[in-house]
Amino acid sequence: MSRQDPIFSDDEMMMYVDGQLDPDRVGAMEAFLKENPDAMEKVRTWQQQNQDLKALFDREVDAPVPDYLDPRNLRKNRESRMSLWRPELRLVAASILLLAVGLAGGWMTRGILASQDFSASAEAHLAINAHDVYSVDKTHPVEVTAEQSQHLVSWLSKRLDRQLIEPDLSGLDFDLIGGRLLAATNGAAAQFMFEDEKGERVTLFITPNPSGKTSSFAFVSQGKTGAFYWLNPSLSFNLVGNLSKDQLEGLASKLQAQWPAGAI
Amino acid sequence: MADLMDDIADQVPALRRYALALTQDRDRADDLVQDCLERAIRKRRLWRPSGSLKSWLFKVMVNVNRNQVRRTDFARNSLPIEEVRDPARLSEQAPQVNRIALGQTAEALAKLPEDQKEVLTLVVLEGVSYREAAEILNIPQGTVMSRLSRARQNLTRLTEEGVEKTVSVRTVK
Repeated sequence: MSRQDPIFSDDEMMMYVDGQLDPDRVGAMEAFLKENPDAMEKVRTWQQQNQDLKALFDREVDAPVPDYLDPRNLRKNRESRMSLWRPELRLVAASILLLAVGLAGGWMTRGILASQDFSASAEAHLAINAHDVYSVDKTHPVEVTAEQSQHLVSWLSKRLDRQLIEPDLSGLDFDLIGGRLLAATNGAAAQFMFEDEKGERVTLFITPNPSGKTSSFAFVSQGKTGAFYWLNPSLSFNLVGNLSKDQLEGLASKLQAQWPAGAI
Repeated sequence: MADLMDDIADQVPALRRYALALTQDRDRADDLVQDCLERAIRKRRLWRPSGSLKSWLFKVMVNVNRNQVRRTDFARNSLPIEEVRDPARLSEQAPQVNRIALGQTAEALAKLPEDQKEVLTLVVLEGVSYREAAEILNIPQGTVMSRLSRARQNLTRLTEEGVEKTVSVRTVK
C-alpha cells in the first residue's frame, strides 16, 4: 500500500462498491483508488461482479407474476381450506368427548392397581382436549407468541414451579409459534404450540410430575388426534397432534432428548 | 388485512428475484416464493407494523430456504447442472452482456457456500444496507461484512477457475 493518507481498508472499499460508504468519504476514496492500482483492481473486480449478478437476475423483477403467487389468492385459498376443516373438527371433537367418557369408564374399572397409568392417561386426554380447542383457533392460538419466547418460558417456569426450556422442533420443520398457561387436574399446565409450513399444528402439554417417577413413551389416540406421553423426574409431557403415529413419535423423541432427564 | 396482502403483493417481484438467485432454478424459485408467502400469510399476526414489511418477508424467505437447503442438501448433486446453470434460462439476456462471462458468474455463484450466497445476493440485488442484511439474516453486522468479503473472494476464484476450464474445453474442441 502507499504512504498516502487516508488509507482505506478492504471493508471500506467494499462499502464503496455497495454504495454504503459515508458520502463525505467518497471523494477521498476515489482519490485513494487513483493512487493505488491494486486497490483499484480489487474494486473493479467487485463492481464487475455486482454488475454480472444484476444482469443475471434483475430482469426477474419485471417478469409477470403468476396468479398462484398473488398473496391475495393464496390467502383466499387458505381460508377456504380452513373453513372446510372446522365443521369436521367440531364433529371430531364431539366424538372424542364420547370416546373419552367410554375410555375413562373403561380405565376406572381396571381398578386402583392401574392408578398411575390412569392419571397419566387422563392427563393425555386433557392435553388432547386442550390441543383440539386451541390448535384450530385462528385469532388467538397462543397467549404469548414465540417472538417473546424468553418471557414465555420464564413465565411458565414460574407458574409450574419447574425450570422449563424453550422446546425446539425446527430441525423437524415445526416452528414454535408460542404458548399459554392452562389448568390441569392438580394445578398449572404449560402448552407450547408448533406449526409446520403446511399449517399443521402440534402442541406440547407439560405439568409437574410430583411422583418423581419416570416412564417411557405411551400412545393414546382419540379420533384423529394422538398423544405421546412420557415422564421425566420433574415433569410430565404430552405431545399432541393430528399426525401419523410415526411422525408424532419422531417429534416426541426429539423433545424428550432436549430435556435433560435430571432437570428440576 | 386486505391492505397488508396488497403490500405483500408489491414485494413479490423482488422476492422472486432473490429466490431465483438463491436456487438458480425457476421452478424451485417459485416454489420457494410460494412457501414463503404462505408462511408469511399464516404468521402475519407475528409481524409488527413498526418494522419493515420487506425485511420481514425476506427474513421469512431466508428461513424457508435454509430449511429446504438443509433438507435437500444430499440431493443437490443430482440436479441437471447444465440446464440449471444456463444463464439464458435464468433471465432473458440483455443485448450487450457477455454471455460466457455471465454463465461463469452464475456457475461460480452456484458453488458458493449457502451463507455467502445469501448475503451477497441480498446486498447486491436488493441494495439493502449491511444493517438491514444483518437483521434479515439474523447475524451480526460484522458477520455480514466478513461473509460478503469471503463471498467476493470465492466468486473471483471460482470464476477464474471457470474461465480456465472453458479455455481448456475449447482447445480440446
